[in-house]
Amino acid sequence: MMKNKFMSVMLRAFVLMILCAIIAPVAHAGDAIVVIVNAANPIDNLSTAELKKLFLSDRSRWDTGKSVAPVMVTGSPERTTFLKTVCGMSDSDFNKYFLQAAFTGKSATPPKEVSSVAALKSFVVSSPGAIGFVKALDFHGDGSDGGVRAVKIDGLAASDPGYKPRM
Amino acid sequence: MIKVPQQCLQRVPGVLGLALCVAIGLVAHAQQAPNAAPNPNDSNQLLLQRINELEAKVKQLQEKQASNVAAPEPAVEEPRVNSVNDRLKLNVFGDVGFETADLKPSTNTFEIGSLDLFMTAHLSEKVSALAEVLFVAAADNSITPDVERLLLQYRHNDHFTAGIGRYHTSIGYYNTAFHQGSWFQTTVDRPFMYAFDDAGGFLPLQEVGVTTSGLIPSGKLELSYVAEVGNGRNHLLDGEPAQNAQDTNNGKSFNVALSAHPVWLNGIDVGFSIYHDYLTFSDNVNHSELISTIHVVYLNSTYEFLNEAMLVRHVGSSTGAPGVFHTPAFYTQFSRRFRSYRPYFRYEYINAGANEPIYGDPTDGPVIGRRNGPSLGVRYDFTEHTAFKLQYDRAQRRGVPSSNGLDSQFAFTF
Repeated sequence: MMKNKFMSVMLRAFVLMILCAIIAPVAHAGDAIVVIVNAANPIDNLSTAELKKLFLSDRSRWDTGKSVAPVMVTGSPERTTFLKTVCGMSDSDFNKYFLQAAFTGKSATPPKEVSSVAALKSFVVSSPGAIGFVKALDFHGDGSDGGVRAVKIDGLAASDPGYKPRM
Repeated sequence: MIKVPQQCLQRVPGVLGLALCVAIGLVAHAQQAPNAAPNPNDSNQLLLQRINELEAKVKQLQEKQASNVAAPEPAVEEPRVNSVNDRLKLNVFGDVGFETADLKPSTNTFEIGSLDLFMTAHLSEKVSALAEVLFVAAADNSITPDVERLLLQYRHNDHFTAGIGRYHTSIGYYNTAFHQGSWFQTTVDRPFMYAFDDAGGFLPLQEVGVTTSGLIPSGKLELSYVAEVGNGRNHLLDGEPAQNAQDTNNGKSFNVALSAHPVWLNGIDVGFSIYHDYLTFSDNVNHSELISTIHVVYLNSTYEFLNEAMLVRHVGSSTGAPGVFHTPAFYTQFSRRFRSYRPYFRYEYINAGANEPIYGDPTDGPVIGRRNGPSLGVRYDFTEHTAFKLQYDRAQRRGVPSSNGLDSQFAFTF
């Protein structure tokens, strides 16, 4: 009798664990992707269309005259989401786009690829024209991020409802 | 022996399960809510202990992350633009396949489509070079190299880029979007109105001259322009389509193209182009040639909907008598991607008069006549850089029996 009850409780605990394991990743879904620039860049807000142009090399300079230097983390889930939501492309579409752009004679340079969020932030800190993106979890906005700062997209901050670039 | 109360024993698995659940939840939200405090009323010591451990871990991670950012990596790669070592980029495009048709005297045949060596190089931040050398198998089975494009470009800013050399004329949409690499285009071949000279094409798709392009400040309309001046085309039959080293006259061809990519209609490209030249062919009559095109294109990663129409206007008959001859043409192409598969449909039409001074004179090139018909096919991208295409064509032509054809093609790049 006692053994049966023990097994029943164990079973309930197991089901609860499974549910939590399912819920945990779901809790991550919807995490914002924060667009960051060098702290010296005066840009405060970008439209989604402008953002797309910057990453597709359709716009090569900031209003300050600095060269635009987009950067992204290779193979990261936020890269895939960003390309889909901002550029409307899959990874392979994105690669093909730059190949085709070169083929058509456009002077299009693909974004720099780095291997980690730390390397991305480091690049943005050291390049005045750099622009990149990270998950909200990787951006603190409290000064601990070094010389980078977040940019609003379509007038919305990453914490605002309606902010589009999300996982 | 220590006796554990039965009630406690019963609660252990439940508590453990709950603790694990909370732990998973906390790991998921650890960085979002690092200061989340446990319920002080909760008497479960195991849970409290676990929470304390997790908080300590989160703090450690945050400190580690902050120190990483504070000390940026010393070796930050610069953008490749001015790099000397890897300034030359080479891409190779090729296609091979098998085709069959019921129109005699064509035979079933394996074929080499083309081998395309495409090179680009940034010579400085604003100057770049582009070269494309093509090897195409001719009808007599010979393979000859062809300098398809050779262009030196200067990019002043997003609004002005100038290039000099040999380039593909910005007539319409297709010619500037797809060029020679079959791998880029959905279908096996180009629409007939944009066929290259070695495939029986009739438009001046290659030029030697100066080309300028850029964006026009136009807000959400996003206008872009192309303006070109070139030598124009040469005699079509068995000759180079572009006048590479010697123009037959002092007159130059002009081409202007304008297109819009409205922000509020993402994926739409609408535009027109106007090309003008004077042609002096075998009839020694100076024919004015005006080629007007319009296009409406919708593209995203799933859908492709291409629509183009063209009107070619030639002035003066081949006998020298006054006359104006119009040749209309259009095509529409639709495709939708289903994962790696992209079925497509295209319908095309062209109608050149039998007495057209350029397109109806066999001494000036292939007789164009009227041809129309559908193409149906599927493209399968079985690797990121390799595609297999299978296409059925039905063509109806003036003075020629209707024909059916089946083409297969492997197109790739490396």
